[in-house]
Amino acid sequence: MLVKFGLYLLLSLPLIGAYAMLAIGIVVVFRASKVLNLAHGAMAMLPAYITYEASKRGISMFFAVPLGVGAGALLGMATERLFVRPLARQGATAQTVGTVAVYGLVVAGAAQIWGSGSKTAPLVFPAGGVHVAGALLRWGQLGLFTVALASAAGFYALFRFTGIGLAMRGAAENPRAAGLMGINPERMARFAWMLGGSLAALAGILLASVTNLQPYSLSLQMLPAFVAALVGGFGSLLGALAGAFAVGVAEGMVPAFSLVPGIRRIATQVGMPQLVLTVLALGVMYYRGSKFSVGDSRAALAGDADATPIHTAFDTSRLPRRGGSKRLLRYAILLSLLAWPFFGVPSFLHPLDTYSLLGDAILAGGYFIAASSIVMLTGWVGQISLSQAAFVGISAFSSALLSRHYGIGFPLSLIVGACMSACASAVLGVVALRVRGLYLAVATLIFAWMADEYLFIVPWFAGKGGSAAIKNHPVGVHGAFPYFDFSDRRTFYFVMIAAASSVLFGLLNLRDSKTGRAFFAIRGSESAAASLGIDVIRYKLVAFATAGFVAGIAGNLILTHQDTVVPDQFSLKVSLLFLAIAVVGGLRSLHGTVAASVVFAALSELFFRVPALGEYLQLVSALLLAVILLVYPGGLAAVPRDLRRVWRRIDVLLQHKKTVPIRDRAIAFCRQMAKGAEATEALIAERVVAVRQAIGRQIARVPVFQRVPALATVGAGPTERRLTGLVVPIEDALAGPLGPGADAVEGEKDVDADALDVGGANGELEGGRKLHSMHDLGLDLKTSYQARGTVIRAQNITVRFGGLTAVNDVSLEVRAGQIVGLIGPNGAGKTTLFNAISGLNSPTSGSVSLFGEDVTVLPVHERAARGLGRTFQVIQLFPELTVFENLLVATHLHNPSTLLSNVVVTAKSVRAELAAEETCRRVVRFLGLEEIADRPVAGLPFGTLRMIEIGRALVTGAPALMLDEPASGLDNRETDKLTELLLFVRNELNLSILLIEHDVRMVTGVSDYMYVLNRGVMLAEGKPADIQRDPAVVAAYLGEPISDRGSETDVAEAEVMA
Amino acid sequence: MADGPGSSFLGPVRTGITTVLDKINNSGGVCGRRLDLTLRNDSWDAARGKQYIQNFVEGDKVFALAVVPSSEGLREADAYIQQQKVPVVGTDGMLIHQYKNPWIWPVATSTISTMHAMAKNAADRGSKRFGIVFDAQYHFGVEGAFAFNQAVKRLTGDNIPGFDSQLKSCTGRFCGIQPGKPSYSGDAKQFNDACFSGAGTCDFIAYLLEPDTALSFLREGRPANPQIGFAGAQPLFTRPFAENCQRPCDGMWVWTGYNPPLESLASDPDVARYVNEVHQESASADTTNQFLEGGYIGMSLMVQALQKVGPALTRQNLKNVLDSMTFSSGLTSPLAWRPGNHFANVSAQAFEIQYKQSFNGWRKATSFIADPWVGEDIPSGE
Repeated sequence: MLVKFGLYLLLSLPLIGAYAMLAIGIVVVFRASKVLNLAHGAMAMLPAYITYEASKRGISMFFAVPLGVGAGALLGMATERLFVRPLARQGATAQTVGTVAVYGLVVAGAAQIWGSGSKTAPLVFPAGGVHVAGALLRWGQLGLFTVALASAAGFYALFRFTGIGLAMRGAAENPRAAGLMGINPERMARFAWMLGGSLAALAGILLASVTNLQPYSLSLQMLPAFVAALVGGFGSLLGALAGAFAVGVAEGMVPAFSLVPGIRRIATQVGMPQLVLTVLALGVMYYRGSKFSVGDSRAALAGDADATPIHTAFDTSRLPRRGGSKRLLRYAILLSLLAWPFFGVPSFLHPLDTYSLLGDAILAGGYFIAASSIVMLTGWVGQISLSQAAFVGISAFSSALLSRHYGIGFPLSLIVGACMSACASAVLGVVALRVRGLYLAVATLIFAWMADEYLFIVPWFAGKGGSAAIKNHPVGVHGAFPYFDFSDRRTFYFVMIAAASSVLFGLLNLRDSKTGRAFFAIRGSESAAASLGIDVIRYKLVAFATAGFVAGIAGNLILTHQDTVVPDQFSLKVSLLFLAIAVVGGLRSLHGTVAASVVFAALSELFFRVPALGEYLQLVSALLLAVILLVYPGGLAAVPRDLRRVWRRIDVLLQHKKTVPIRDRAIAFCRQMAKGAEATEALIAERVVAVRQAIGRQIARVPVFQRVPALATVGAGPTERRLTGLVVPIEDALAGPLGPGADAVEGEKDVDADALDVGGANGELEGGRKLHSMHDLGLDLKTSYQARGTVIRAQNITVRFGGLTAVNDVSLEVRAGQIVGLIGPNGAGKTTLFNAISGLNSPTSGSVSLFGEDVTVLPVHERAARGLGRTFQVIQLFPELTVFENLLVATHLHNPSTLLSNVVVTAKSVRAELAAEETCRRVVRFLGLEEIADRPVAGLPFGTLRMIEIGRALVTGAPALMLDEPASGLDNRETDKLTELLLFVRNELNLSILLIEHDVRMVTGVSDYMYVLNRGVMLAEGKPADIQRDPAVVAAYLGEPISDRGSETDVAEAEVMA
Repeated sequence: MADGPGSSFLGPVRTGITTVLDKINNSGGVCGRRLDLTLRNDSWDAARGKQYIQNFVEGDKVFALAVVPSSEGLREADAYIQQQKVPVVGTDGMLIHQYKNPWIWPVATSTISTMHAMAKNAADRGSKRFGIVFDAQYHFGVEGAFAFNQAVKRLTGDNIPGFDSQLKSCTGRFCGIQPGKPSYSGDAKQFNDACFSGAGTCDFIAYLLEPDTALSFLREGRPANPQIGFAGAQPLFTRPFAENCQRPCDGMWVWTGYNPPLESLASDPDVARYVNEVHQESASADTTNQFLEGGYIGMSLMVQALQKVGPALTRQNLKNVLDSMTFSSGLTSPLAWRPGNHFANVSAQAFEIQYKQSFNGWRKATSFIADPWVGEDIPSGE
């Protein structure tokens, strides 16, 4: 038996070789550019055809093979140059989707040129082979394996021992640092893509020579290669080789199990290797993925389709329940959708007919529901999914089973089927908790592969013959109410409209709710989200389950409409189609997805109507995806916004003469700003628009807000100062950004936040009433936390990372109403200690208590729920949300609404939402952020961002705040304002603050007590004045002892150095 | 079928259909009316195929469907066609449902009948130990493999060793494989071990695969000639397959329910006319492709039936005519459909692929052999 197994192992060599070469290419590209190259299979396939073509034309294989490999290298470089690099600014997901477009273009193009039938590729190695125990191992197969081993060794040597290999690794790990050392990261990435492409080409040529040449099957060999790369860790060439070994053996050894009685039937079942490998891959991911640790996962597309804020601070018409004219528009659209089938298609639209259009509408509805699950999961939460079609299929097949075995039909099967998909999606979500970004994409890719190859084929789930063929149980009895004949397209059209509308409105409600904000927050920064009390794990699972549920609705509807379903309807290709629809729609926009679904359904109709185009459907779909990605990343969702922009520009031109007085002022201002330089017409036009808009805003807001006096007095104690008020003179609006980057027409960009004195805390509410407590801000502190005594206590904290002890036996405490400073040189362990207290790190030993409660083992969000708020050294706002929405996210803990109430918008959730908004409005006014409240935070000045982050911490209502270097990056004026703000919230709101700061002047100015860390140990503690004089502290900063006489100067120097 | 996995053998069907169509339209049409044919490519995608059929029927209001090489799509639309009472005339017979549907008139021999005939012929020639490699993903493979096993069971008293009623595994001599794998070395080794070692070697092997998978598997998996022989079904009856397969296919019998233009049949007047007409339509067409020939026959049936119905053309009248007519094209044995029995073509014959240093053509191996178990051995769920 063992000998037999050994023999099967030997016979697996061709599989191992093929997967190894492809996997190594995937890893080379991933290591160099952190991009998941889904076009890798196409890069293997096209060169194989080119070699075939060359050989057919009489070119010797000695030249034909290098020609093919060269074509692969060129294709790799072209992909990098035309797709990957231009999409870099939009993130890794966009780059990955870009490679999907390349895949579609190349495969569809090859099928057009060479046909989709198989061809016999020329032999690279001699014919014949060696017979091993009755089996033939051909020279080509052995050659494939040998070349794979040689490639692995060569690439290992390249990366390990050569300068260029080191440079490639370095450029991938840290492009900026590599650039400083004279390495061109772009060139390195291009080189890696070239290598990856040539290796894929070699694999494709060799593989085709021992199998056949067929565009689809050859290019899809990348799927097991991805599994191999993943099993190997995705970063290691040797790992990829080991992964290929595992995958090749798993597939190649399956027949050997027919020798083992007992498991023979199960083990040899078609698709079983794919199931085993998927379990293995997901297991590896789960095992190797870090235990939940927060971090940045800004991986999803950053298209600006939804730059229009979801929540606006002072526009009360935004909530769905108060839709106003938009609501009327929605009703009108809905009414039209319901009415047109009764009137039919006008004759001038011939050859379109009502029946076909109903079919297209049903198709579009299905597309929308499936793609909207991607919008939610990928666009909102940042969790990349390439397997949504599989979840659609799981629901469809589950519903078929229910119907077949239990007689359960629509609509009950809709709920059950959707729940089945939700469960499957949540299981995948469990893996997602351990990995992020592109690793998750690979997990979903593998899941889609398994569903294709096993789940939708295995008889117990899909029925014999590879297809579930079931009859749905109609609702009611034929001929009697409420019987519905779902085979009638018009009847089913209404079902689809009802389902799609429900999904649309439900998801829109969800997006505008506490849950939706939590999703966006997780996408922006998991650590920041957790620090605001959002249970990241729970919400990720909710997102996966909800996306699965929505996809499941589509699956059940497809089954109900068609009566039967087949596996091909849920293949990876279809998942990529859904992704393309979501991307073309704008990825984060549901309305855009509706439009994209209609476009794709219309394309389908067009290609049906015009047979000559029929063969180009896939090519055109891929082309559309590529064009949208590269030329119009906002997708269809951005069309209305851009049309408005165009209209504004036209309007400016039309109104030009009427603005002469303002124009004169603008010219004068520009001349002044340009200090004698010529004020260009473009600059003048920009300023004119700025002035007009500033006037408009001021006029519009006068009745709403009572402007506070220009000067106000706040604060108490030694730093009492006079602060600047909030009124924005028109001249300040003129001081907007000048230059080519400024967008004059965009209303939200025409005012410089600095000029608005953002962050000027005047401490007053409307009517000049002063703030005296958090309650005045609408923030409810739990009374139990108002207790006096110690608020934060860290005792004997030690944090180790492997062999490195970052913090060693450190204790500190913050008492109620205190500002406590924590200083130390870079690398002293301050942020590590901070993270241990807030829960981002788990201390190796020691304990943390909040308000007397031991919270050492509690996760971040639980500590936030107990009253601990924080900011971050590197600002972690949610860049795609507005200032107001960033604050709204922080109301999470105070908002009692649930997922369900968010979806259906109950009275309770409306009340909670209104209360949350009111709280945020108060904080916006308190911080003087009104003018920028509805602007996305991306692009705001650094000082403003710091202020927003502090505001966000305030909105949580946390009585204990931890601020990590809040003055970092601020100028003196901004630092002074920050100091005043901290003193104010401490004095007037009775907050306790733990503060890390390098600005010694600032930290000593505000702190009641200070701790000094150095090299992970507590160097000193005491009053600020004592700390400033402590020779050990000074020495720690300067690195040498100081004389008494020079201490003052040296401290100042130390401050500068810090 | 311009693309997709079935395109290599189903793609040329179009030429067979348009040959007949152009001929009849050039000669004045049927009852003085030209026939209007609309072709759609569904890529052998079952869901798309069904959707297209629905669009044809209710959107374009087509009168009838001809040939429909999209066997997977036609299968999905089976209930719909019955419900709508739309005639589907001259289909390729790949799947058994076509013979049970009163509104479908296949001209081909079903895969099940072909496998019956193949097994019976092998047994008659002395075979006792059978093996089969089949496509476990597509319906024709699953249906045919089940029927082949049932035939062997009748003939020998036992299932094929390794038979799995789930029809989804490669065990022993009953080997279901997944199309599209880069290597079948392991599957081939398992199958060959089961066939050629231990108690009694296989003396007959059937390969029920589509051409791409068959090429891959046969290159890796046919180390010895079984004593009685080895054979393939109609999807392998194309010239490109015979040429590309080379030595591993030398001696393979390929079965068809038609009269291909090979050997003595090539000079048969009806067969020669078929070849001439097709070549006038497309000089490069592979007239040995049996699905192309099926398309020609199917469309010819449609035309003849329409001519018989005459001016009183309704779907029901067409059905009545088809259910009572006998169709003699010379390319098959005479075909007769009757209400409740659409098994008109139940015979198959084999031709042997000959390869020495190069492809040397086919040799007629058998005459038509009738299916001894017509309508039996349909797997559950089909």
